[in-house]
Amino acid sequence: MVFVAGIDMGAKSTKAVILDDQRRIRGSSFIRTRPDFAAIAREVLDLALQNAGIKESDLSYIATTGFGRYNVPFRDIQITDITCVGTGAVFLFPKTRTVLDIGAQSTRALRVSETGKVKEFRTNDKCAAGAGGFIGRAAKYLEIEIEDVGRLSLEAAKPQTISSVCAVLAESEIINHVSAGEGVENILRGVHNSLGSRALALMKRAGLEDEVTFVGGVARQKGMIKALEDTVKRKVNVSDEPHMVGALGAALLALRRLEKLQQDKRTELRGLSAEKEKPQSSALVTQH
Amino acid sequence: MVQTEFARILADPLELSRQWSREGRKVIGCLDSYIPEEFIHAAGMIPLRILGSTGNVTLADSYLPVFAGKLARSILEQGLRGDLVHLAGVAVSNSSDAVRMLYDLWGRHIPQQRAFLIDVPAILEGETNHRVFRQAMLDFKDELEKFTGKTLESAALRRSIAVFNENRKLLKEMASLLSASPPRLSAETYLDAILSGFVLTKEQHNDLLRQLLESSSGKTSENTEKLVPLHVSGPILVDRSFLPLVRKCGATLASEDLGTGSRYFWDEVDEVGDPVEAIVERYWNKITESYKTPMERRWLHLLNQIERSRAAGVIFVIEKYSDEDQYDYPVWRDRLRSRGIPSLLLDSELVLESEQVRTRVQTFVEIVKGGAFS
Repeated sequence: MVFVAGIDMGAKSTKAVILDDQRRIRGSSFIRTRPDFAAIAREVLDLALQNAGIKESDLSYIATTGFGRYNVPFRDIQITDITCVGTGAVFLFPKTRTVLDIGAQSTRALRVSETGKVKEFRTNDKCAAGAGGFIGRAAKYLEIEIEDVGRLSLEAAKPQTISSVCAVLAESEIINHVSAGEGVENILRGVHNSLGSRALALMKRAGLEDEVTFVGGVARQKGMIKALEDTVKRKVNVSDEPHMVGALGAALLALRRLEKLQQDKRTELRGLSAEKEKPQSSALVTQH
Repeated sequence: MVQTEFARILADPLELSRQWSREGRKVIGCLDSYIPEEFIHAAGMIPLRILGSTGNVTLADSYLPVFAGKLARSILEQGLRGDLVHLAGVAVSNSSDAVRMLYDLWGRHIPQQRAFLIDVPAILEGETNHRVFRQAMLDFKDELEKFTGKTLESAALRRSIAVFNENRKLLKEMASLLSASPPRLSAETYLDAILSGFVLTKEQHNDLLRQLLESSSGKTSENTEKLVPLHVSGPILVDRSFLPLVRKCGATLASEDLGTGSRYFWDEVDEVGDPVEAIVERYWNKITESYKTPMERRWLHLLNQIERSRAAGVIFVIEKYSDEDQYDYPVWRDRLRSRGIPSLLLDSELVLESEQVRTRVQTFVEIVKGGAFS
């Protein structure tokens, strides 16, 4: 049995997925990203191997992705997170044609083909207003655990408007809402709605198709899913572990790459054996 | 090696002009591409293109808002900080609102330096605008004559035209080496050679370009076989770390229509007839920045460059807050798409190197190639 690994080193967390050659997930892991990326990549891979019950020597290929993708010395290939989430999303939801990926520091909208290839993409600017970091800041100010944000936002009865395009100014708006006595759940839903409308603009620029799949760490927040669905006016696909889709995509591409290399090798070997037989064959042809 | 010489010059782009100034030569800072440098040259002065700086802007923040863009803000910063104190003057046109503001700000805050304004019409088409444009150019010539106390004679103008035209021919020859298949010149050398030209005298630049062309003759640039040829478009590209980044992502520059590239040097001055009128016509007709040159002429230049190099995709490098270029982009993108040419938009603030830019370029190269490892 052949095994491959995909490691997604994101701004906030690092994820690993191990696949077998039947494209079945055999193990996964998830840890916080900290300094010393090589050590973090090693740790997350060890955990995933443990989870899969295999050894590192059983792995035939390792692909890395995410902003730390170059910092993994034991990788075989590095691929961008945009390409990986496209592949992962279409694998999980084959009719996906638009993917929205909201992580800690970046938001990406992709239009993809039926094979998961990226046809067009748009990303947020350097500022964190359209990404998960913005929610983190809001939660911190409101003294809410980030794990509770999604649930609380879902309970909103009167979502507040957060209109500013700047994370710092948006924080002032949040302070105003708190001063006005608005409930935390309404403010959080306002934050989610704000992200939803920015995401819609990004998806429209990349190409908003019928079936949308939402991935990345922020897709774990139920309130954000609701806000997005309200904004795009349709149901969106969200997997059980949307934050793992990048690592899954990396593992799928690792397997595809390995298969291609093996196929090339077989072709090359066939070429060599054909070459060996050539003189005899051509000699026969010449005789006739 | 001439490549090393370009890199040495760009390590401190203002050093040569400081030296000229110490030698008693007058240097005029040109703040955009509508300044008829031939007039300055024929008046016995040296035109020096000022392209801002990538450092932090602090002093200029008091006078220009962030949305004036990094180029205008950083040029004013250089002026206020005293980096340009050795210049005899600066010349500005209203190529954009922010650059136009520099004229007033210079007069108010750096009054010891002479500021010239060339009042270029909003769009370069139509008889009325042509008359206004011609008069603006003639006024600039008159101002230079008063400033130097010398009349610009036809013979001097013809000599200047010949020097500048030779420079343009050499740069075009260099562009053809870049677009050759396989390329005969690396993209990094190409960019360095162009940028050096803004801070050298044209005579010095011509010498170095001749050396470069001679040394590149019959040679093939190394390690370009598997690189995807791309076209880069936009008003300005001064970040020398960008092309190595593109190379790391599996692509290379095959052609460009940059304001600081082929748009600057593509069109020559007619050497027959009245030299003043020929210079006016050259700047009237040249392919240049967004919103001044009619759109269709700019499109044709962009398309010709792409077809010449057979680039597989286009990267638009557009300065943040540059409305003029941002308006153009959707039109160019759709037209390119209809021809099956993918494009990518990158926002720049004179600097392009960041992990986000790298991810975007790498993904774009993957799209152009048809997959992550096609």
